Amino acid sequence: MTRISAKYLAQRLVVSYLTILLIMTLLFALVRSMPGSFIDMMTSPDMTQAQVQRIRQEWGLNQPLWQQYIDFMINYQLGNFGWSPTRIAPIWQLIKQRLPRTVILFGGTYLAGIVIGPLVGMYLGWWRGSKKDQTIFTSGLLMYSIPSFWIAWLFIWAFNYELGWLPSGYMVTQFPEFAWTPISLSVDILRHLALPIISFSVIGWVGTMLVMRTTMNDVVDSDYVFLAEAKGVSERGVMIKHAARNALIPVATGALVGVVFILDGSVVLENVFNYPGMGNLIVTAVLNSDYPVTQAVFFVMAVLIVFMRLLTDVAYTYLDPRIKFGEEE
Amino acid sequence: MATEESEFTWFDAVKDRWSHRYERFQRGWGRFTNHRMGTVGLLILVFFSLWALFPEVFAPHSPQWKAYLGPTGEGRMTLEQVESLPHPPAFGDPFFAPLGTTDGGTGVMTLMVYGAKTALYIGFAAGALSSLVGVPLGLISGFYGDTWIDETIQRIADVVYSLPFLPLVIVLVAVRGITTTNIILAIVLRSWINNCIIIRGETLSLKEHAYVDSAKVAGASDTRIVFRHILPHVLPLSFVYLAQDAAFAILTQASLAYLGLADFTAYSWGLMLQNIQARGYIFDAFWWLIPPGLAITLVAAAFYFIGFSMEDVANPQRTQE
Amino acid sequence: MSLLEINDLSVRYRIQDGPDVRAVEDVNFTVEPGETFGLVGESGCGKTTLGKSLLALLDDNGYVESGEVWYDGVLPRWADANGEPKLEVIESDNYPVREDGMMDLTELDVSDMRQVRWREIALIPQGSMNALNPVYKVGDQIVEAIRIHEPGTSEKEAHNRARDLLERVGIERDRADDYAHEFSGGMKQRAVIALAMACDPAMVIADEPTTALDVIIQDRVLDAIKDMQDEFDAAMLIISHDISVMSETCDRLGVMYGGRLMETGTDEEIFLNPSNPYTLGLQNSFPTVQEEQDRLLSIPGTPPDLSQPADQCRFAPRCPFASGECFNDHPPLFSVEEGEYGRQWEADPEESHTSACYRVDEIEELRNKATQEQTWQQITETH
Repeated sequence: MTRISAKYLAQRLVVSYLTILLIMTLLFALVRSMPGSFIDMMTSPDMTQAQVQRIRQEWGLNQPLWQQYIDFMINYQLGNFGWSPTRIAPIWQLIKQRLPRTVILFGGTYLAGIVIGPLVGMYLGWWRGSKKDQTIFTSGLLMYSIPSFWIAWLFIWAFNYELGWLPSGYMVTQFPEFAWTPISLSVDILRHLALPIISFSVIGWVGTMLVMRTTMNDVVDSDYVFLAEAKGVSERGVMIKHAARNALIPVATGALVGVVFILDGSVVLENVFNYPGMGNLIVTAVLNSDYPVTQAVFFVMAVLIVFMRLLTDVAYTYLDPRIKFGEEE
Repeated sequence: MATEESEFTWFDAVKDRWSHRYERFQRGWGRFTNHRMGTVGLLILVFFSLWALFPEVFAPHSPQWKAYLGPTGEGRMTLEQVESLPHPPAFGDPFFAPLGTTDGGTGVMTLMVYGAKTALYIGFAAGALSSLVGVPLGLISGFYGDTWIDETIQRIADVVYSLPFLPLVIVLVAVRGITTTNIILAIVLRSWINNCIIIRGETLSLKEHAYVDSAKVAGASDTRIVFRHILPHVLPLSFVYLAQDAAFAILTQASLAYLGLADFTAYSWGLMLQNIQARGYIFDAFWWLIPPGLAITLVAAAFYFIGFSMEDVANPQRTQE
Repeated sequence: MSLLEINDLSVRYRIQDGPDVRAVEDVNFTVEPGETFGLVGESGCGKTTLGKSLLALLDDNGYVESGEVWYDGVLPRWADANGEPKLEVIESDNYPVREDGMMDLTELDVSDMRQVRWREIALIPQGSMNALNPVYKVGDQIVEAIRIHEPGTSEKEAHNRARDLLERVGIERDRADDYAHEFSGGMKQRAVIALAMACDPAMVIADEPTTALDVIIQDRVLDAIKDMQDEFDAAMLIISHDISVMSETCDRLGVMYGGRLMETGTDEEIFLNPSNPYTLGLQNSFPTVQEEQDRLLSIPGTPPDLSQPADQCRFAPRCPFASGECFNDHPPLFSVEEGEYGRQWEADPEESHTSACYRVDEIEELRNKATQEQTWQQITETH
């Protein structure tokens, strides 16, 4: 059942690509507009002019701006992110290492958000106006307001400091006294992922819940839900098969916003948990004025988001039969 | 509307026009207070606003106060005294600190009260600014759909929505300097689009309503239509998003503070949390740890409560009670 | 035995500040198997509420206040081998079944009612153009109905039946694989009719089947309804404010106003001998092709506030003939035929032509007056 025409897909790919180019341009402008500190960071006042010049040469800063722009655009698309002044490895290697880690962390939270949020939202929308709805909804908003790092600390305090059940940092037990097997490694990683994912899930589910609750409420009054009820469909059947299935469609857009939200969260939480992912990387980079790394990570994140948008568009065509080949009703 | 009687004074005309709105406002207000959640939110904000406006009244000490040393904070503590810090809540002996002290001897309660202003300021400022920029642009974009204005805004939205939020804010703040103003600007830079798009959507659908056509036929100018007919319907919705922006701004500032990008010149709850982490007392001084986080949660939640209650007022849905 | 017997049915809505709205009050009528009964009246008269209440499909704040809805049918678990209600079910007090085997729909709980819905009585709702779920194929939605009520049916058989049904309303079989948005307005309506017949119900309720359709499509839809009715031998309860539609399709009619039945009778009886001031007023406001008319007269005034109905004939404030008794109580349904003691004889349920009017014995005279414009204009002056 391929409802996506190649033409539509191509269209969306092109648009995505152009968006990325635009983002890259903005990124370039942003980074270059930072007042000279790029040079300052790598040089110190007691360097000679010659040394400074050589450094500038190395980093391609002697070339005219437009040349730098072209180089930047081409290099980045080829995955050549250059080198970091603060780290040894080439940047792309850093990213290659860290990206999967962030994806795992982010993915776990995202899945929780995608499943729990709409589920709760479905019930709340169905019950809208009742006490159950009010209480759960209010609690949800309250949870949405909790600072992520703070709740992470509380969880760490409870489960690590007091109870010692789960680890509070890094991705893998540091300096183990045993050899890894695939299973023990996986288990160890899961244990390390547990607290970050749980902490953020407390907050992350609310976003999709809010959207689903609203859409569900809109759908519940519609004629086809009435007819389903009149047909003798069971209450669960009406709620899930007829109402929720339709209410889910706009939630896909909400899920996309969730991507950005969770990416933000991973920036903070990787810090709290010392998790060696991209969020950690970009924060240390910014604090160290390491612009090449900042630029590269930012770029990768943007690409990730654009990619998720593409996926969402495709998902839409499956969710809503009225959308075909990109035309909306 | 011809005025027939000479007794129909200007005052009556004004009363006429505004009594409608006042009635509407009253009805809306009634619906709002029906929602306990919104009222609670309002109360919370009022409470913290009092802290923000009159910190001297509500704080037990001035910010210069230090434990053992008194209101001026001058002097030196004995070794014992220093080691007793951060001190759990004490109610008179050896000093008065209902929420204890930090490791430097400052009263937590005092910091909490003085920190309220920053939180509320950021919330209101970011929220208001986002709306001030986003709503008019949304109106224009929606009203004049299919023009270059609309197209440009759509393109901008496309790009902005594809950017990570916190990393962007971090970069902007790191670049331009860590001041409260810059933080607010960075947040607004990203969040105005949301207001714009939402308002645009509303305007687009409202535009199709019959009364707009009839206004046009009656010869109303475009600005008149927008302001008289569309804006009043769009306004409640914009407040909903203003509230959400405010809540989000507060939480973002807290995250920035945690990462070390807080404005060190102002008291803020985020900074308190950054400090407790930097000094390493997270697990040892719950009286220092809990209140700032709790306060941030409450204020952000208050904004969310108000926002969503207003959403119910603007779009009344089925209520079963 | 009638198929549906409605006794003194009253339905109300709870509202937030104020007394409950009396949407339907003390309504009595029957529907015979295979017959088409039309419930006619202006918006807000309670006809849709009545229709929905029969299958417990009211909004959350609606409820049946009193009365019974007797239906000649049986729940599967109460049935014996012949499809009749088991003896113990009839005799015991625990079941809402009476001696002649009819069951009271108002006493069923929701899960039981779900077995009555569609299988016994199908409801085609107002705005049925949007009644098809946009995310599922049209055929699948018919299959769903079949498989709920006839769980032994195989997928293949159900799909076949679905296509048969569509064919019968004039839609090609292959279209069962399409989605609702790919159908035209008229097609959607007919698809819903096909859906309604999916479980071979004994009765179909059609709520405003022709509203919002242009005349040509109306025609097609009415034809489709009639064809299906003939084929499946189903009774029909048509709810509409469009009197002209009623005259074409219905065997018997009930005229509602302000939540109450004002007149019942056969098609002929009501159109040739309207016997209620409200019906007389309605007649005036519809143009007919047959007669020459100077003007369309409308009934001045507005329908009553059903949250606090006064103790009087519901139509009295707008009735040019109201007097005395009319302001004390809402009249019961009287027999229009001459009874032994003159016309003011309360009607048996079997009486064909009934009218709720204290002045029904003067009805010929009133009929004449009703055709004159000044009769109606007087109302604004005297009331």
